Amino acid sequence: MARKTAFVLLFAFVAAFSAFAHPHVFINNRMTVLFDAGTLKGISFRWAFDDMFSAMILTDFKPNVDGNFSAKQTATIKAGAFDNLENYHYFLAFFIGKKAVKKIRIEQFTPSVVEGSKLVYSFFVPLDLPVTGDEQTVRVTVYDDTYFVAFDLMHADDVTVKGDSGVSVGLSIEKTKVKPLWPGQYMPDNLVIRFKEIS
Amino acid sequence: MKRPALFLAALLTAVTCFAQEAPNPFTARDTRPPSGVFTSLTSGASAFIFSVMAPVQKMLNESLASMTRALKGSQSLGGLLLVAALALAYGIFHAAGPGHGKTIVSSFLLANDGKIRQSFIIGYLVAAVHALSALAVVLVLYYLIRGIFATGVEQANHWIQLVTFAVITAIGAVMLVRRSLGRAHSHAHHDHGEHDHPPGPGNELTMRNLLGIALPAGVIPCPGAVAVVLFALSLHMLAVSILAVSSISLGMGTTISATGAVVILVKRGAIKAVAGAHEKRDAKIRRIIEIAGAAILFLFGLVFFLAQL
Repeated sequence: MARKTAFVLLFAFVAAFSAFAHPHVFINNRMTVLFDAGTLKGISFRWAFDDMFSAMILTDFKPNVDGNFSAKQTATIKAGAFDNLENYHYFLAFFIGKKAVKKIRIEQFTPSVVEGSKLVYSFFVPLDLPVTGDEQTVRVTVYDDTYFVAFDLMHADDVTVKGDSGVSVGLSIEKTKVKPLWPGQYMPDNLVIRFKEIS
Repeated sequence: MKRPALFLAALLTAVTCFAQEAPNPFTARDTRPPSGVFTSLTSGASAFIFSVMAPVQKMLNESLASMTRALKGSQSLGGLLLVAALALAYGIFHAAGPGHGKTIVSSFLLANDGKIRQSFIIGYLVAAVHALSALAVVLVLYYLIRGIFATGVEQANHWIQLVTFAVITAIGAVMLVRRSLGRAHSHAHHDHGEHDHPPGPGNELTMRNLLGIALPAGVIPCPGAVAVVLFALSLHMLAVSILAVSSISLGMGTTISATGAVVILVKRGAIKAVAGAHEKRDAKIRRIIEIAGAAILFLFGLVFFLAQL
């Protein structure tokens, strides 16, 4: 009897937890923080998809031999398999200082294929923040709270900085500061960018 | 089962059986995630899931893809077995995720006097239908209809769901009426193991009943199987895609059956805990649970049917 109870409880626990652990799409996310002429221009994202999601999109859209898509194909992919993400804030959250960015703008959306079969989405999110003598902080989170998409955990190696001459830039990966609603709730990592003018 | 354990098991099983699948945010049209606190409570995964389960599932997904690709070069028995084993594990995990199948099976088992053995029959039947339907939809769209695949899958899904949830609503309604009108029956005089019941006023299930619920519960094509089949087809490996689908359905069947078995055990435990050896109370609590199960099935079908209109 005790063994039956133990089995039922163990199964119920594992099952209840996995009921939320069900990603269909896996993304490796890389970011480039772009400075230019004393301005934090923005951040470009590079999402490399898993083989199966890639196969689904590539069934419909065949890239050119060089792995690139034509302008027409790019527009169709954007309309058919990217634009709806606006409703999900593109899985992104930005904080400039303590202020959340309400509407995320997307520029230069470019799909491509690497290694013959892996779909990659690249796009740029402009921020246009002038670099000053005072330190400023930008926090970025990449996370799908519907859990349909699982992003690889953030890693310092996945972030590069460009055009930062004359700017002192500090990057770190930190836990989000929002309090969890229940003990053990997953809190996504933040990329924290601290920057100021080198005096 | 002790009462706290029983309560906990019932709560956790309810969570499992009611978690519903989110639409694909990339290809869906105008879908929004459920907002605010609701999302955080229902979809906010635990740190445990992120640190343990997500990497495991990613690894499964990746190795299934790379092993399938490796088979393209040289087909070996070992390679085929490996793909079958990975697909089996994929199926076990996949069925553990959110979905309507477990909601339907569990409320059906609450509403009827199912035996543990029958939860396994239903579980494997649902899984087989679920995977075969995915295979059929992908093959038809891939070979017969040349169009945008993602849109095709979504349109096919829409019509299948419309019919499925209409059928589920009807089954739920019939059961609800029968359970509400029907005479209550007691099991208190039985020993609560696997028992054979003499034909009588009970709500025992026949093979026809099991098939009748497994078909609608499974016929919506399994998105996991769709992804795997499509991937194998993109490599022009039809036979391997069929092998993978069979293994996935075995894996899913195992999870759905086990969930069904736990629902039955919790139901029996609850009846025993409330009624003890009291025969009248046994009949009463059993009837309440069965009416509740039928009501859940009916409402679930109705809500999802209306959502498809």
